[in-house]
Amino acid sequence: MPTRVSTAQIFDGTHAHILKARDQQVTTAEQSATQKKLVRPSDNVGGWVKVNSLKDDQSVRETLNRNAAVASHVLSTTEGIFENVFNSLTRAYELAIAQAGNSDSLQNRQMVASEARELYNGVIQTLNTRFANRTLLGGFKSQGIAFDEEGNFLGDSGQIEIEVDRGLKIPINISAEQAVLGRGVLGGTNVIEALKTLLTGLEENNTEFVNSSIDLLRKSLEQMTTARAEIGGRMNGIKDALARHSLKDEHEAGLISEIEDADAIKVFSDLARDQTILNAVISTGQKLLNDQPFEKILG
Amino acid sequence: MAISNILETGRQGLETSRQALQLAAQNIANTNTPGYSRQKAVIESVEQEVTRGAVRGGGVRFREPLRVHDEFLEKQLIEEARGYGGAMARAGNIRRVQDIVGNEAFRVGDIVNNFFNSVRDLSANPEEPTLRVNLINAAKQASTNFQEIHRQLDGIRKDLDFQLETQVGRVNELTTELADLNANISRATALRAAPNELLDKRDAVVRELAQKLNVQVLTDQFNQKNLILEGVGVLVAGSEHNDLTVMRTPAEGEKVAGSADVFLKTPQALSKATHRLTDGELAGLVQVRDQVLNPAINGLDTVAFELTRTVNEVHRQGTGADGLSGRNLFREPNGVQDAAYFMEIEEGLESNPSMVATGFQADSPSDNRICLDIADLQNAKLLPHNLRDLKAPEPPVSGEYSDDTPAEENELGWGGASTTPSLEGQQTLNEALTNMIGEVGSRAHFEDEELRHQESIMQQLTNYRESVSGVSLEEEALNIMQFQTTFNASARAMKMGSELFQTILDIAD
Repeated sequence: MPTRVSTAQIFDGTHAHILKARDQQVTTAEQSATQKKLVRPSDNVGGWVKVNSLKDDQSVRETLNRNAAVASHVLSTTEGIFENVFNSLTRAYELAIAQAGNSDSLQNRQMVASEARELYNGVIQTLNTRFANRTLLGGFKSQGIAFDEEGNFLGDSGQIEIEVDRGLKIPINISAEQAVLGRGVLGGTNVIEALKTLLTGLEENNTEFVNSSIDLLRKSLEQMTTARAEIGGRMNGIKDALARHSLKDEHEAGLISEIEDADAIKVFSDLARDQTILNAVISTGQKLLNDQPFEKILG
Repeated sequence: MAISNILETGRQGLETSRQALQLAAQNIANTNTPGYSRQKAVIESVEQEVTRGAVRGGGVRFREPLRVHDEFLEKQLIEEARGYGGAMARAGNIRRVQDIVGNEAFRVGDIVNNFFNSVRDLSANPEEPTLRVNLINAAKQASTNFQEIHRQLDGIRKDLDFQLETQVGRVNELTTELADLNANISRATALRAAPNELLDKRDAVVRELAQKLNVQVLTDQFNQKNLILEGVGVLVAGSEHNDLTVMRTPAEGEKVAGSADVFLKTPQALSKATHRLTDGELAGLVQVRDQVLNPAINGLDTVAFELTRTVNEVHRQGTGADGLSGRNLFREPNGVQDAAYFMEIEEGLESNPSMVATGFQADSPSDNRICLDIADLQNAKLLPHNLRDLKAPEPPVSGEYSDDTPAEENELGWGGASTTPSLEGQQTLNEALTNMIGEVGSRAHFEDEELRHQESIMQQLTNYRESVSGVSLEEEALNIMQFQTTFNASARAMKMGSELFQTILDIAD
């Protein structure tokens, strides 16, 4: 027996079909406008949780990247300081070797003393280098000079760390107490005292001082090399962190896109499909609604 | 048979056809009336009487308009209406919650990210006064954002209670109408009238009620529809009814203090009904409020509480640029409840950025250890998996609340519990926010699917009902033709009887 169809059913059914087709069209249009298939958590809960975590990561990594760049520049500048000091010490060492015996005249020795003095002043100035509003070798006390004219250390041993990766902090300053003053270093020496020893020997024409400065200057050179090596190690750590960030950025961006982004070609094809369906539903509805058997029966 | 019989039979035929035509017109007029059951003419022949060998009577009569209706289908519709009502209330309102917490244009997680990123920026350059100001602004922005989200969610909570009140009002209107209809149907039945329209109206009222709450519908021997809310009491009994009412009550389970509870008011007692609302729109509203919204707000409050508490704990250990220590970055929270709503930066911080501590040592502009420790909090597992375990006990409150009763406030204007919950580490602040929003999303997805399912069932049942009880214009057109023909034929028979009578009279003349 055929199913009975009431008049309201025909209208309600047509209405429901049109609404359904429109609803689908609106959903596809939203994807087209946003180019995203994941617009809200309920669209794909697992995907959304993953994407959200990745975006949190991205947000933090952006700052870590920035900090890593700052750390890199600070360490690079500090390396430059020690390079300059190393060069000055090398020259001082050469002068010490040359003046070790008593063979040179007083006049010559005084000229060498003058050069040594320039070297000494240059080293003090270099050790007080400021970068990004900070005296790099001052420790936490970074607003004033690190060393006064006499070579007295005015900073502290504070280690400034910067987070360059989640949970990874790298010190961006070198302890002047260790690197320059030799404190806490096995066989360490005070670089400034080494220079002062040479200077005193030259200025007072005291060969004994000149001779004893040779060993001190040699140790100072080694100390500078060690400090530069330490900086190099830290800069490698930063480079590794930046490389990890770059890799993560690439992978995470890809994963986020895979989960979140709509396939543009599919979306446009769906839009066309939905429009076709809507047209077909409307056309069918029109046929059903325009056909009025009631009128035909009654004539 | 007497000639008068022919006339009488013809008259009966005319009358019957007229009533049938009227019924067809009635059906056609109500084609689009929601819930209308078409009526069929029940026509029966009148028995002839044989008296002293003479046949008298016979003919036809219109017995009654039969309401074409399937009571079993009606029961199914009522049964499914509850599920549909509940799904509708839940899906729509959970979507609202999701739109706030899962808004892609403004990620809730970024509240935490932006704050900690500003701390990291300061840690890289603690000497920079601009970055202190930046941190203060980020802290202020975090507070404002937490407050705003809390306010919006609380707005939904208040709106759900308002919807509950409105729906309860509507339920009371419907139960009053149902009681009146029961009385009217009873009267009409006593007068042997066919109260078909009243029955349709009553079915529509019962269906609407079933969509609102999980009532049991019982039809008694007098065809009275009685409604019972199981475990609570009688809503409608014949022409009598009891009202529901809404009152603001203390906290219970996930329900917060001052939220609405539904009660049944009878002459004997006031009985709580909320816990017995298992389906329908009213239950849906309560479920969204207590199972989705309140946990989401609690999650937000917990994250805000833990953020302010732990940041303050570290910050107090540090020394500001002014050389002073022991100060907070945020106003110290009093408890988890409403922690997001009351979140603010410490007083005086905005006008005095040197209060921000970056390190432990005074006179050490590059000491950034406090900043690093604060930044570490973002990676720390500070919260347990189930944030519900952290909900601090509510302060005991006796008696009823008035409509706008706020939570208890201390002198600082903070509400909520005074005990600090114990916190164990299984998820970070970001993870807690993500999981909270994920739970809302998961529930929203489930309810969307459930609503689609319920809509499909309701549509099917409605179609079945329509196919049984709905008016078909084609059918009515045929009925019109049929009874019009019969009407004409009966008139013709009467005319023939009249002519016969006239012939007899002419013979007599």
